[in-house]
Amino acid sequence: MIIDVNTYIGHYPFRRLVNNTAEGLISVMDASGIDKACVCNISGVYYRDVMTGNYELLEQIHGYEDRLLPFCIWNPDYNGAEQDLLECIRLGFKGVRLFPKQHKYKLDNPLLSLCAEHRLPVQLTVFLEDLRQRHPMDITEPVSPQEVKEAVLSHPDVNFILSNGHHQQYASVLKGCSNVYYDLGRVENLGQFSFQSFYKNTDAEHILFGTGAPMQYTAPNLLKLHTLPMTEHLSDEEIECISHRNIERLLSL
Amino acid sequence: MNLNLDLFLKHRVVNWHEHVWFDESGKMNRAGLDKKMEASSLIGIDMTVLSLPYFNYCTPEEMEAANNCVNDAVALYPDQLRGLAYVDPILGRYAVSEIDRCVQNFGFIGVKLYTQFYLDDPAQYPIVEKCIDLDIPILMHAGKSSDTYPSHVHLSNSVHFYNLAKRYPEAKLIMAHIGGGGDWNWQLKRMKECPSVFIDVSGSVFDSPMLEETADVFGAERMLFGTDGSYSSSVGKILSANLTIDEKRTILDNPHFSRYVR
Repeated sequence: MIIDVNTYIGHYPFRRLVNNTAEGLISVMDASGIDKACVCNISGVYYRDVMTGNYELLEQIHGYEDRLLPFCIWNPDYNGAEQDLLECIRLGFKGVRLFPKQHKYKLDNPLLSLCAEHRLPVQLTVFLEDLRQRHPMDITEPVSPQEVKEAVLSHPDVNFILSNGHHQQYASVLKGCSNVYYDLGRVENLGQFSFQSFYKNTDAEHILFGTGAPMQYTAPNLLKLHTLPMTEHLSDEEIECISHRNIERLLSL
Repeated sequence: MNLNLDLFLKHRVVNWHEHVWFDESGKMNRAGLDKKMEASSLIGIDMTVLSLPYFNYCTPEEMEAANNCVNDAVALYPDQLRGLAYVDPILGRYAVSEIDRCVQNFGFIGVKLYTQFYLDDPAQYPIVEKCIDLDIPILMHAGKSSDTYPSHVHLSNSVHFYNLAKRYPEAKLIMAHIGGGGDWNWQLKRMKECPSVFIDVSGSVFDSPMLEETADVFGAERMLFGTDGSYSSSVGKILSANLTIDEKRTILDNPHFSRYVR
């Protein structure tokens, strides 16, 4: 089984996407052999009231709830943030995605304690896209490892997921923080030693599988999953942890 | 998991964009080279074209040392590696004579340029003319970054390729890494008008639908496979892209370049 922790539906304002509907995402998953996916509505990132984007997500994935696991976009700085989060819990969202740079708030927010209270993992997409190609209206930098560390240490009961980044940089700062998880992101195991650097500061129980579909192709990270036993001598058990067991544990599936 | 590597394992694959580097002591980074060859063997990459560019201006001695290092690397894996001559246009006639040295003495198959000058700068003309005389391609580091980085002040984008291609339509120009970071939409603009410009797919960026949009502009026959250190991204984007098998095979072993890598 493979569970993808980093997928989207919806419109991205800075370029054209394909397969960015629930049906399209399912077709990508079927072609890739991915069983389930954690999904949020990328359109909602750019709504002033992100909660309206969350309602859109539920409408669009209706009928696919066995395969698409909804993650809500949450802005803890917006009016009604606490009530919106409680509503998301009532509606069955499995996790929370934060976009602190897009929404211009400090990550270390007291309301994160609600996520611990309701056992919701908090996910940060380090890059939606490589910032060297950023649109003039887009953010200029990702959340820094130090800012992540402040939030992680302030909220030891919240499970944080970092997605899509060059995680070796984050892992070296966050070493020892047992409530931090990383998807394979942009960490490379083929032809480079960056996975080895990354793996020194984490372990298989804290790595997840994520692709960024449909904003990104799925095969790059499938290829990593396929070749990690050969290049880094990960065991079948460790691959199972990465491909689905860790996220199942985080989401109580 | 649905991941079929037959396209790579059962067909010839040529990687037009890779590097060997110096280590901190100034010698060949052998461990890095071997790691790349391990990946190539695992994935089914049959031939890799290597270069060693400098990020800043260099001396004639440094330029020669870089190309000597590439030649040493090729000697370690003679059936799997070929070399490109890195030259710095600021060195004028030394750069041109270095191309001759590398082609005649080492059997190098092309030239690698970096960001010392824009591709359409007149400083490049003697190098381009030499490459036309020798009928060898030029692989130019390329991108359109949203911000300027100190090491990439003269980063060439498709505007520079357009200008040089119009001046020298006989030159065989390879625009490096559509996935190398930067505005790849920008890089595709006006390239339909330049049939002598090719593009490699290497780089750490694996946005969808990058390769489909690249093929719409360049056509598979003007696309080359490359990795530039990003093997899973570069291989994976080929596997995932909604292109025909024939298009993918053309990219992986481009017939316009086959004669250089036999």
